[in-house]
Amino acid sequence: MTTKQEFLARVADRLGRSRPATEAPGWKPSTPLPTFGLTEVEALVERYRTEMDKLSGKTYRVSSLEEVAPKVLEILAASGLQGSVVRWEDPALDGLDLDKQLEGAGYEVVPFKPCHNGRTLVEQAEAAVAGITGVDAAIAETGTLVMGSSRLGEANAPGRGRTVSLLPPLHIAVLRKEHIVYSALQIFQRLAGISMPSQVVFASGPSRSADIENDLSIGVHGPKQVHVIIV
Amino acid sequence: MRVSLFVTCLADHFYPEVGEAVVHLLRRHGVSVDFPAGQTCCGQPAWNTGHQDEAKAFALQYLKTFENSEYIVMPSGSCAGHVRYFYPQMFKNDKEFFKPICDIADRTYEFSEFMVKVLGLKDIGATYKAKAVYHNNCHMNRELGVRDEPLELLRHVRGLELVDNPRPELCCGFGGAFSVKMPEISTAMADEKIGTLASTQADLLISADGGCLMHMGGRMGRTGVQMRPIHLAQLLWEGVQKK
Amino acid sequence: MSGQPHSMPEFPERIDKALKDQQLRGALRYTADRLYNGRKNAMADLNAQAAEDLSIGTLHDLKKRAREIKEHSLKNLDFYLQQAAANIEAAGGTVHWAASAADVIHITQEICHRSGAQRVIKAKSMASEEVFLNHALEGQGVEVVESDLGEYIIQLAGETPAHIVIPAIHKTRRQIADLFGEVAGKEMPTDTPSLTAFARETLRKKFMAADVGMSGSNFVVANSGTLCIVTNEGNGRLSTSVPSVHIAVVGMEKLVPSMEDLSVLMALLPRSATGQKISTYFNMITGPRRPGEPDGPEELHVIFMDNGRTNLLGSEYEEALYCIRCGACLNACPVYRNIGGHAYGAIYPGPIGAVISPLLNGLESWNDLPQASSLCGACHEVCPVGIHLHDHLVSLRAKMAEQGKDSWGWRVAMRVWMGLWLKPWAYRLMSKVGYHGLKFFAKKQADGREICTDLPGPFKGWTNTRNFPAVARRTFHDRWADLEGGESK
Repeated sequence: MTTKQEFLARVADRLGRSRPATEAPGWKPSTPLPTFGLTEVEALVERYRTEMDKLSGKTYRVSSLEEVAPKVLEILAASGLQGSVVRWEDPALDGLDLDKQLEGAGYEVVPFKPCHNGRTLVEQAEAAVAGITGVDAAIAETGTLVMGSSRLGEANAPGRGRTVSLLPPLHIAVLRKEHIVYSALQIFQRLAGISMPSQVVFASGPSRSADIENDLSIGVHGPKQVHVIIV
Repeated sequence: MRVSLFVTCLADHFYPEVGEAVVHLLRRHGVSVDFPAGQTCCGQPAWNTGHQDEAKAFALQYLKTFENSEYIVMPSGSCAGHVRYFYPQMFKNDKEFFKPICDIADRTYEFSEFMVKVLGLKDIGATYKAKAVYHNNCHMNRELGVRDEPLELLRHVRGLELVDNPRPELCCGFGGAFSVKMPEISTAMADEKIGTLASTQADLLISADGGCLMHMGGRMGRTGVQMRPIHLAQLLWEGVQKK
Repeated sequence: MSGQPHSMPEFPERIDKALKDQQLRGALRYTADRLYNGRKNAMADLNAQAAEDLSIGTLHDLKKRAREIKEHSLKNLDFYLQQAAANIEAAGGTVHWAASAADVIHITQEICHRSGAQRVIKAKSMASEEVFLNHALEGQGVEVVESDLGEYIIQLAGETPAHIVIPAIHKTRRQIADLFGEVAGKEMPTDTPSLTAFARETLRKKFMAADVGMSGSNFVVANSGTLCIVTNEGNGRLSTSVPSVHIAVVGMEKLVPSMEDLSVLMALLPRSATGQKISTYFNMITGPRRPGEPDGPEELHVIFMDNGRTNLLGSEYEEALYCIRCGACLNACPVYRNIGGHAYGAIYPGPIGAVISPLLNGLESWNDLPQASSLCGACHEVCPVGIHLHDHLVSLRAKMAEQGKDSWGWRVAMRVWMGLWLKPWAYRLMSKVGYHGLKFFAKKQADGREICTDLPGPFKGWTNTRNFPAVARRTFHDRWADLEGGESK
């Protein structure tokens, strides 16, 4: 069995060193990345929606927080699915009156916080027909939602649940338009400046595969439908 | 202006009329042509099959043969590519020969490249009535970077209907020794390539490289595909003799 | 080392089988063309957007930067491995060091044994295929299920991947339906939605029941200890979020220094692989779940694997470690599109496979792969990190010739022939010999040209399928006497 020392010694040796280097080589990418992209909110929203459309994702514009819950119900009604819904327990979903309105329409709401009924949260997500989340950011260039397992940049922020946006067949995301940036580089730069949570996921539309004779199928393992409500 | 012809081993043995065409066309444009008799092969087969010592020996022989030539012109993009791209690499750590090899590589030209870039020609007054498709040799394309010059010359041939090559990026499958060492794959590649070219309904398959023509021509002869393979130089020479 | 499985037929036989399989060849061409054109269009779009300041840079810029990043990372790999390991551990993960395939297997088996794991679900990992990990785990009574749709299909078929990105490129929907039918215990319809739904339901149960999730990692960001997983299906997220243990097998060349560097490579990978601007999911994992988090694995194990990569590090072939496993070279290769991945036989097929397989496993294994190329250079042309694959193939041929690892007969023939051709008088004499020799076999065609249709020895391969011209009665050397002294006009 190889030890760390043996492994690194072999690497160092191949690089012409008698022992593994312990210093940072002072790396800086030689070509500074230029400033580029869209900056104006409306342009960003427009671009984000165009990209999502290409990816078979659905987007909706609402002008106030009050309109979010009704839109969620509209989406659920259109899906024809009844049952339970899981959601993040997170400020992003505060003040939307979600639980009351969903329950009013006959959906059981399961917030992702420690529960006492004996069923794990993951099993709840598996059984749910939809998962509702907020979003840390969105990337307009590629139609991407960025979601951390906990709030980005906040040390010790509570976990929100990775499987909320993953296990149920429907993913409904609430996105504040100010959180849309143009490019993935901007997100990577932001991540470079924080302590990383256990997971950050970039999700661009519903899940897909072309493994069967190059024929595109939507909804392979991840969500079959992605609906983003832009506030 | 004086040019030395490097005829290439393939043209020397199998298509000497191509060498003749090059000589006549150059002379027609006021160029004196000589033919150093010590020339044999650029050495590409040796290099490609891993015989690096022999490959370097061929390079040094080329250097010696053409050391006094101002320009060296050859009817093969593959050979010219080998000289320009690989000769310097072979000698990059050689104190004695690196500079002379780079120098001779700089004086080496593929035929159509020389006609267009050095002699500044486009319309040489050729007439050839036929429908034709041009096949670009991979080394000429990718190592030598000579893509447009043959097309430039062909576009000015009166009566020649030049159709687009549907899949220019696909190799014909010759690859030198590959065509003999892995003949089944080589033939499969030829069939796909010939299929794409034949789909244009062209009468002529024009190329600036003897290897590709020998390989595809040999396959078409066996399978009965009715396109005539012809070297660019030969087509142009025949074309300037027509009225 | 994971050389050739002993039960594999020889390369010529594998080639022959592939060339006779018209369905395979049709599937390969269709897929290769689709992906090749996808890449071409994506790069054209990238360049067009860059011209309007709407993308991260042109292909040329990104390629240049990607090469700098990879070169630097590899030249300082000892440092970055330590940095990555320290950060993974600080985040609560465990790092393991595997010099060999056997190490990877041993470590994985031990983790599974210690956690009492009975069921493993895998996201696509070429690194794990390199070491035949599934086979080893199954030998210990552990159930291993591949969750990537293409990998699941070939797992059911008992095969290895036929392409780096689309593993089941060679399977028809009928064949897929039959494979799924065996699992379902009934006949399956062949339409895509039904097959997909079946895979989704079946594998979803496996995700939920698995004790261990396994993955690879497309990149590892050293200064944060972050694993990066690219998928379109969601299986990469599920395998690394649902089971309580996550094991990642990572080739040591995957390291990049920082997030900004990652952005360059992530701009290139999806575009080069399929023509997408971004894959559907891009998952960044830094340590296991934090205390109090509602889901995510409790244990994260990262196994850094060498398995021959240090053979390339510090050698003239180090550049081949720049590979980001996009598969673009496969899609551009005129040889690959005719014979497919299984004919190559090695885990990594196509141009990249022909270069790294002999280097990772020892030159005597896979020594025939570098011969299977016409050196057209299409691979180098499309490679997003500019690896000179075609030049490395020639170099490998030279190494093999030097070490006597290629065919003895060809070597002698070439040496003799080249030796004669280096002497001008012998070259000219050989022309006469050639003329008379081939004349014996030549036939006159209708157009007056003489051709040979049945030559012996090494040229039999040519004349089996192609006509070979006769040597001209008067070569150009002969004719020069007539031309010499001719006037320029």
